[in-house]
Amino acid sequence: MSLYQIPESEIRIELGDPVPFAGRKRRDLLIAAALGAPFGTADPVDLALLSAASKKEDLRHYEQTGFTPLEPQLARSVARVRRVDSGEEALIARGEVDTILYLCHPDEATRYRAELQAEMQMTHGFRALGVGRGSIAADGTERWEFLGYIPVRATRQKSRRSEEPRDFYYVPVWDWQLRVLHWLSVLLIVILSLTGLLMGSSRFVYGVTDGYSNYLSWLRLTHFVAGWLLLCAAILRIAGLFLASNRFQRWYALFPVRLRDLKNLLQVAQNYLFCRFDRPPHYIGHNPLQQVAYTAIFGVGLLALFTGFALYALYSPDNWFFGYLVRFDNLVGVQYLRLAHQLIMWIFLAFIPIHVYLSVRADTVEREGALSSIVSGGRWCRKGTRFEDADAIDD
Amino acid sequence: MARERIVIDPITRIEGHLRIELESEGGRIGNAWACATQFRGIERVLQGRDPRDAWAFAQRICGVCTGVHAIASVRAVEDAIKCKIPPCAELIRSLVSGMATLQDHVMHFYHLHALDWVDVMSALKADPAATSRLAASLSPWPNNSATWFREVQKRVADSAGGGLGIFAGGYWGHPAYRLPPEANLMALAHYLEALSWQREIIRLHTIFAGKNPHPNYLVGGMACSINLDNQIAINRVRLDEIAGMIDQARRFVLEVYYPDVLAIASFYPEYAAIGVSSPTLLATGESAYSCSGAPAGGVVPAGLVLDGDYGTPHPFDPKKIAEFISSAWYSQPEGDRQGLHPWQGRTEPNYTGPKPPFKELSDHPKYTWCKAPRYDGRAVQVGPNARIMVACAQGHAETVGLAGEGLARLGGGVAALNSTLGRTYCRALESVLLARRMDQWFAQLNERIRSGDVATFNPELWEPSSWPRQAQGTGFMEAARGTLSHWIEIENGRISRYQAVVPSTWNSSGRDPGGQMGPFEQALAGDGKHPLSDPKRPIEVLRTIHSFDPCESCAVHLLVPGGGGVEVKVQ
Amino acid sequence: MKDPVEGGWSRGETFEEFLSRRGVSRREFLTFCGRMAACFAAAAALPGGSHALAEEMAQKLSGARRPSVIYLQLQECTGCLESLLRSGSSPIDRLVLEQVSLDYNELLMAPSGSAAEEVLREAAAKPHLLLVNGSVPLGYDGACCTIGGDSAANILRRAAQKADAIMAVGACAEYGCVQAASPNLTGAVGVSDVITDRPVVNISGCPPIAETITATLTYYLAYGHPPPLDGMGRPLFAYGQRIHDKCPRRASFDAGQFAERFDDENARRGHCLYRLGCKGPATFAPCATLEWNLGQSFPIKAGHPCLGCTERHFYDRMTPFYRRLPGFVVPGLGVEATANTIGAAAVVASVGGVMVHSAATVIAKKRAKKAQPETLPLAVLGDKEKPEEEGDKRA
Repeated sequence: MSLYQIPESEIRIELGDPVPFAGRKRRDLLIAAALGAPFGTADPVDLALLSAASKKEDLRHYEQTGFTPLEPQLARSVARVRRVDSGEEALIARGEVDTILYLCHPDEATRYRAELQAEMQMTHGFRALGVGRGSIAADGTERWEFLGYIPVRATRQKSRRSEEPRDFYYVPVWDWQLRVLHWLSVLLIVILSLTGLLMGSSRFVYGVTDGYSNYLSWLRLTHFVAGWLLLCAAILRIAGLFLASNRFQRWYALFPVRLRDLKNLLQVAQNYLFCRFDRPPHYIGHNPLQQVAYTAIFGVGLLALFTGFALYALYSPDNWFFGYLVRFDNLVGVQYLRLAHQLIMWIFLAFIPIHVYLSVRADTVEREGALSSIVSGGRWCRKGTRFEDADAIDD
Repeated sequence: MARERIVIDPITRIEGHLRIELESEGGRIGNAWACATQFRGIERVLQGRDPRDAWAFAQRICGVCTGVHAIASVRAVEDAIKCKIPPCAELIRSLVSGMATLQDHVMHFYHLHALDWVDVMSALKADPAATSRLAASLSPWPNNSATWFREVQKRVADSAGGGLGIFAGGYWGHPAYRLPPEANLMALAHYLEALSWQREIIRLHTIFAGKNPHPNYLVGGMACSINLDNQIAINRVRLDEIAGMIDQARRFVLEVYYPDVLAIASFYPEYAAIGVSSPTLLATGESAYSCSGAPAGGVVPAGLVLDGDYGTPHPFDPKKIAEFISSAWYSQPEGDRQGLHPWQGRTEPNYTGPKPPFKELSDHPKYTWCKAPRYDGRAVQVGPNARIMVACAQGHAETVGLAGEGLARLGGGVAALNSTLGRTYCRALESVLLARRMDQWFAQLNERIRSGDVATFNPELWEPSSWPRQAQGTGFMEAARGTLSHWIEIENGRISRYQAVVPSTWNSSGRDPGGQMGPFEQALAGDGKHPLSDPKRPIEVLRTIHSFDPCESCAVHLLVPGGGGVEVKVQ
Repeated sequence: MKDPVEGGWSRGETFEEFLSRRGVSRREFLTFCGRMAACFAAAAALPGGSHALAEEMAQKLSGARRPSVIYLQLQECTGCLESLLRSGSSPIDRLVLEQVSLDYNELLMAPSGSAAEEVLREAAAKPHLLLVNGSVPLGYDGACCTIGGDSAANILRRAAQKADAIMAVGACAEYGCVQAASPNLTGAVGVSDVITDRPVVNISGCPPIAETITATLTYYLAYGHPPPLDGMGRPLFAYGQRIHDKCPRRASFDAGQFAERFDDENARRGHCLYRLGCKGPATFAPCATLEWNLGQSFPIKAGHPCLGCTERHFYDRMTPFYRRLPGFVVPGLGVEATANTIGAAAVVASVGGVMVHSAATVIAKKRAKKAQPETLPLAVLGDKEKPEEEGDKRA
């Protein structure tokens, strides 16, 4: 059922501390308020009261013998309840505080205090639900007593998310091969950047060597080996684009394919930009923005490899393959190639903080589990969330 | 008798591309136009570059006078950023440019100029024994044997059998050739010897500056480090080699070049009155002597002799330089008649000549790529004779003494130095002075090294961040061919304006708005007496033009168009 | 494939045999000799006049074995030819007197003007080797370099027509060198841009080392075909390896020992000049092996970093000469930034962005918690926004 077309899960009822009057206990006030609910009610406030009261008293001790629903003119509902064991009957009236006060005719001080308090304390959308108890005399006259009021607030739930394991289901996303390639690339890029920076700047290097050593040779060797390995990783990844059975890893996961995904791309960008973390779209694999960003950084990586090997090719221009690269060198100019190679490294280094941050953020703030997925391979998906790329996943 | 129109293009045995158009009448030249027919626009390329790189661009203005533009360029930058270079670097620069000038003068005489005086074909008829006697009477040079001359003769004769090569089409047998066969053979032998000599002595450049042509220079000093205890730095091995080269250079100049010039000159005495050019001559000091900013010091200070008064030196004021474009293919907002100081130059190439192939250029007011620099409105001759004449006017004893000796043998006064023969002779005379100077510089360098002062570079102002945001500088240089100056403006570490006023621009300039001819043109047509006996074989013209040692790649340059309102700042 | 030897004059045949093979009749040859004789007829007071001289010349020339060489100088500085004069392996006197017949070269030839042009016409009409210094300016209808009243392009095309082989000597002839550097006012291009239908051997350098020029020439003379070339048309014997690969300072490079500035302690010890902007690692040239000027030394050995003058467009692509990489002018500030400065700034910006964004996320999160939620009407208090649902509630 929905109240005003709001999904039930999004309605949040908060009950404040009951404010009893006339020497009553809070407990009694709460139970009375619960008993004032119509039998079989589905109203969220009623359910909340019943739930709260049932922790204090077994409500099965009571039965409702009658209920006068709230009428606009009177602005109060009245329930007639009977205690099963004693047969004692009572009337419970609920409504605005002043309505109940009007019904109960308490002394002036109580009335004044109740009105003032209800008015002063009801902030932040809380409203006072007044409760009155009427006992029925033998002659059938009703004697009403003002029990107090309970602050109630009904809000639209926004951030309440259950973190219970039962709310999630596990989806394997990334194959181990891909994860190995990812972390291998991370390692290699770090090594390549470090050795590259050291090679380019003798400030770090100088002072390390006084006599003869092969310091720079080792740096270069490391750089070259790492470069070759990164090339292997890139080739494997490209092969994976066409060979992987995992659809999150295939070539069509590289970029948004559907029109909807393009729209979602904008949405995701807005969500990131304005720090919104509660709105769709949701993706199991990469969202469109991730797709675009990761494909771009992959392209940048390929460019780094290309420029790197074009520089490396100078070493052996008579090699048939490197010969072509050397021609490319001549076309662009070695110095500008080296400049591009260095700038690309900086693109990577600038990308890393953003990438790591967004991944951690996705894990901790958005509970999307992106970070853990690149370690464990799978992620926990919240039940009931609509995933844009979930066509093959059973809910 | 009708005036005949003569075009000589290409003028060979020069650097670059020069075209001479003449009107002759009865064996005399009536009118002349010097047309520089190459333009490259290097100064414009320099705009926006790192000033420390400028020398490498400017150096490529010329590969014959290689190095002089580089020195002028680094000097201009050093003047702009107020960088003082260590004494060793100064001495090394002097040695490098001195050797370049020596090599340049000798090669100019033998390989570019000698064939105007020496008949190669006649040399084949010479008697080697008589040649040997002739040579021995002139100098103690060891390669004076008859065997040697016979070998040269045979070699050239055998070669001619297989194609005349570079000698094909020469004006051999022209009556203007007056040397006896023996003198011709001796000169031919020295032509070949000079070829081997030049590649030996120029290794001084390789040791100090990495290579030649186009040795490496450096703003703030020189790149070669001196370290007597290191294999790769300048050590005693290198210094010994350099001592040997200086020795070799001096010996060739004193025992071959100078005597040859005197000997050959004595057969052509009338050329001391032919080719008289502009009577105003400018020099900013000695050859290979370099300075930044306005030239002031040195053994021979900068100066001029004006309007044929060769005894009175006048001080040089760079403010009085103005360049005109009335005869050159450029345009400027001020109009063609306005002469501009180098700091104001704002001209753009604007070719208005005929589309090649063409027959004539001089039928149009604009006929050359070469601008016309004028000093205080006067066309100015620069070069070795200008340097010698300015030094004589100032009474520089060494120069006066040596020039007196030579002039006594040739017969004539100082005025004779302003002539075709005078220019050629001054080149040899200057080489003798310079060879002596090389020894002094090398001794000073050794003295420095002995005292432990081996710094060759001043690192203080290397980084552009240490420079003023805006700076202006000039670098003057007495290049082999005359007074050279580079003018640079630096803004935020980049070149914002660059210009070069080059010796051959002074000499080969065209007419200015007043109709005053450039020195080349004056030398040919100034007095209407220059001979030209056979228009098909214009050897007399070549003698006069070659006596200037034209360097046309240098001559043609382009001022950088800059923003308006540049202040003239000259000390 | 056409045998490159065919058409060349190199197999030791006599000039006469060669001419007849090329279809030149004896009569034509005599006519040619007659013209040649006319050139120095006045010199020889031979009995029988110029006809006898022509006969004698024909006799001598037909026995000649020296191939004709036309050495053009177009838009250039003459530095390349000056370099040629320094050759130690084929000294210039031996080259012009014994090895080739240098029929046309403006710097060295005796005649000027029309006599020189005549020599060029004659030489170009018969088979010859064509060496070219200097670029071809195409701007201003070719007026930026004219010889004998004609443009460099026309002269080159005519001289190339019957050339057996074409060698572009020096950077200008290869691609235009300094005058072709930005903004290339004269529209300077290299020989191979004008002569597009024939192979052109590029002897790179500004200028090339003398011995590479003469050895390329004598290679052709000895074997009848040009030496094997690299991708840029440069002979492998000279341009097959980088200066860096043979550099005497290479050990310092490998050891990480660098001169930090000119003439510092390390420079005096002969350490590597890489940090001072040396382009040796990107420059294919024989400087380190052949060395300059009779093997005396070369720039890096003499303490100055390599300018990279054998690489195309080095005035644009290898500058600034004293830095490893070009810098960037920061607009408005008038300062120059290196790639590393820019890269580090990008990383700082990225980390900063991440920090700002995470702070924004935290704030947004807190604010979401604190924010006045959207309060909903309370049925228990008689709110009646959606009356139609009241019925449901009552049920």
